[in-house]
Amino acid sequence: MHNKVLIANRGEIVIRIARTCRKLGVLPCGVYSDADKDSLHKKHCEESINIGGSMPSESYLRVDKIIEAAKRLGCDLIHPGYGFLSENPKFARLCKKEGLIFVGPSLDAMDFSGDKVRARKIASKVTPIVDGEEVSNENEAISLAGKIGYPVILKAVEGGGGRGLRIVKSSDEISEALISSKNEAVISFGSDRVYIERYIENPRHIEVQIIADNSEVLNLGERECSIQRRNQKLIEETPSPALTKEMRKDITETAIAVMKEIGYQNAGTVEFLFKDGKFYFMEVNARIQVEHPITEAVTGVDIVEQQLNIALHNGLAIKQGEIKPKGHAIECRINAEHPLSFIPFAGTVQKFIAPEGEGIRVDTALYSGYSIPIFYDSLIAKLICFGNDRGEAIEKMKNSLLSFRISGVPSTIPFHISALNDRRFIDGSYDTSFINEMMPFSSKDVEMAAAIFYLLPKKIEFTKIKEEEDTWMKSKFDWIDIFDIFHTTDRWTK
Amino acid sequence: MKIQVNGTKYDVEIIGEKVRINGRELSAKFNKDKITIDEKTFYLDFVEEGEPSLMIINGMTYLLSESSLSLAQLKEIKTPISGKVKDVFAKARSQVKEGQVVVIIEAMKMEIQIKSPATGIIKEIKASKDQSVKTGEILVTFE
Repeated sequence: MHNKVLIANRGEIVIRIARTCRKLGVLPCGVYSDADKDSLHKKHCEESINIGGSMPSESYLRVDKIIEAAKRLGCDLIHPGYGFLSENPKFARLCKKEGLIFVGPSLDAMDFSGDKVRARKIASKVTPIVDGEEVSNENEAISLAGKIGYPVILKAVEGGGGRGLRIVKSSDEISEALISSKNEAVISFGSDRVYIERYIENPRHIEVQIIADNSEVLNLGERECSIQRRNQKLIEETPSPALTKEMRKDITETAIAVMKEIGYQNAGTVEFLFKDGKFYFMEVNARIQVEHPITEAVTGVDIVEQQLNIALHNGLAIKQGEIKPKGHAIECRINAEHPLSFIPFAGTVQKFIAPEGEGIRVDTALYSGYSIPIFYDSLIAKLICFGNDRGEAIEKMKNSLLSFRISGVPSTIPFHISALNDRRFIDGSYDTSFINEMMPFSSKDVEMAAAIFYLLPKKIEFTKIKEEEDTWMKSKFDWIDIFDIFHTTDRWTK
Repeated sequence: MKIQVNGTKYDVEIIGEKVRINGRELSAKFNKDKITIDEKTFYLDFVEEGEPSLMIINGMTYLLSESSLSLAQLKEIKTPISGKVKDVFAKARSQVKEGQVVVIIEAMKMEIQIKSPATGIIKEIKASKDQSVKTGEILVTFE
């Protein structure tokens, strides 16, 4: 193969895709925005082109600029990664028109996954779905919600990522919820179509990874994705601790049936809600997903390799019988976020030391000294740990998290340590309500160290100390001297 | 000094190259973002000032606050750092509340808010605007 692929994305996923490209002898090329001049993903690409401003709408979402970049670099394929243009049928259509191979599903399948009401209708032939329908006005909404029974949930037809979601507990709330849901849907997705579903409280989210070519649809097992904040995943694991062998067979076969029903090709995911031993189809994700590495860890299948093979019409290189998942894998998403409030935080990473070892994988674009831009997602690293069984994977993850150092910006690492020590995680009994009832995990030793750090003067504005100020401080102060003054005075008063 | 960490109270003092925690003396080494207490090393990865303050140490979250002082203990406020007095917000014979900003010190190109550790009546303001102060100098005294 002497193909050239443009990876139309940024950060860790570009690096991850480029790695497989090099393995297959395909040349990876990249694009970057003004804010990403110093992004590590550029270095992993053979060539890369600046496609404009820092805002995604000025660069990574600019269909014209990306196609132009692909042509200028002589690429014959475009891999969209996840997010940005990955599930945009208009982009895929234009790629086709311009003679570029879009590494992803067919246009029909993309239209299907982009319209949730249509997806529900088609999928309902082969899978259980939650009761619900599209509504266009208040009267329809009230009558449908009455029929289904409260609580109900409003969702954007052409949306995702939790935007447009409204939980409605009674008919008094429906009018206001409908207006705000429609408004949010228009702003986020350019369409005010919404639908109503019966609300399933605190379900689990379980998804099935599918890879398919024009003749076969294979499943690579499920992923448990119930640990979420703001409807976005933070921890994923496979296999799911919630499924029995029979349920697993049932849910994976259903996922295959859904994908066959829509003639899906390439890698994709079928998402289900799971509650009280029953599952309900939720949606199809027509892209490579953030959490795909855990499936790779237990199956040994390189999903990006399969994607490229399918796109180049070489077909699937494996058969269902050869896919024998073994062991257990967990992914923790490390976001640059406040570990308690999950508020995103941009800043300069002072130290970045990632854990390493057998069965430990870190997908990241971070490095010491990197300034995290404010324009994009807060995901800065994915830590994936594999163990022969679930207990081993959890232990490995805990140790890896403890030796993972990201300083200068807050991260979700402390959240993950607390989560992995939570009884509900250890016994696998958690659901989407997990985060609401979590206790911080602390150690007595470090509590004492924290108290001492608190007394030290340098705690003042830790993150805002720039290099010049740092040098200035070093020259002016001998730290130990300061401590001497301090111990005699106390910080504020005697 | 009494400090509450994740809900547990610690009595902590730094004495030269030693620390005293709940009456127990331990040897300690201090570095920029690292301290070693009795051969164990702790890394400070992130700090956010506030009530309570947040610290990330060795990958775990700690919420810290000073245990409130009683009025009887409160005699004066000293500056924790050398710098220039940027602003004084309190007046003599007026009341300040716990947590209220009394003085702002400019140091290390930053403004550092000096808050009152307790509610009380101010007796005298010792610091004036634009004055240089040294660590440990008294800024205000209380009745």
